[in-house]
Amino acid sequence: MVQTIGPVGYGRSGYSKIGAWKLAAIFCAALTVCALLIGLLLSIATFPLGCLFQTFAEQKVYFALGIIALWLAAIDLGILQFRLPEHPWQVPRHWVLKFSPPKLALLYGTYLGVPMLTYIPHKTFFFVLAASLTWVGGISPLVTLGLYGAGRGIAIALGTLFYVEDRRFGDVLLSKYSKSKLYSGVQFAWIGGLLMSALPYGLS
Amino acid sequence: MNRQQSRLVRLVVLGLAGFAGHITAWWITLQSDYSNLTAVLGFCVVFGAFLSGFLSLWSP
Repeated sequence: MVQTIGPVGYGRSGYSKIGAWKLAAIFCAALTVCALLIGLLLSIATFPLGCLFQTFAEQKVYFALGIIALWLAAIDLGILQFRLPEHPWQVPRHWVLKFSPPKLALLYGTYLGVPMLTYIPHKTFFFVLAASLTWVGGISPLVTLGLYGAGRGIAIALGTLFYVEDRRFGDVLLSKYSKSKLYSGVQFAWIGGLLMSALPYGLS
Repeated sequence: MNRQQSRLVRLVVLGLAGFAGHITAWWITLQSDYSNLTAVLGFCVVFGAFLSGFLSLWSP
């Protein structure tokens, strides 16, 4: 991903360290703000759903979320194959030829702020979304999508800054892709086991 | 390691991680002052949201 976003930080006229920082900041801010707006809309839209889940026995909701976490962890670990609502690519590459670097940083940031419009590399994101849709623990999609956007924005902005310094950085990151999926899968399998145990142990 | 063995290893990893979660739940039941799973889940969701976004760095 950094290899696509990287040229935005690099610009067409050549490498400038201050320019790269500015573009990374625009990208990161646009991504976070857009993700927060989508989260706000989703929070308003799913509030009745959250109220409905509050009427269910808490442990049953946890158990269902635990199954979802394990299922998504199995997808991230490559054990299961399943198509989820997402696009096969992350950002339209041809925009690089159409727009100036600041506009491109803004557009790419805004575009990546809507997770469903892009490729979601770690499927366990859907667990986070499902958990927030139930408003469990009072956590709304506004919080989770905002944090997801901020995490994605900070990571890619930082990665872009490294990439403009050394083009090999993108390849180094790509070589660790399967390890990042393993980490994500293990973490959510642990959460799944924890949540599914809520029912037999009577935790609340 | 062929594909079948690799899949089996990942399945074992999944099972072990899930079991570790089960042990954590059991441990929570032993803590009289820390029995609120909602708080644990809240933390997992908040941390997981940020982490899922951050891990995008390693994607193609």
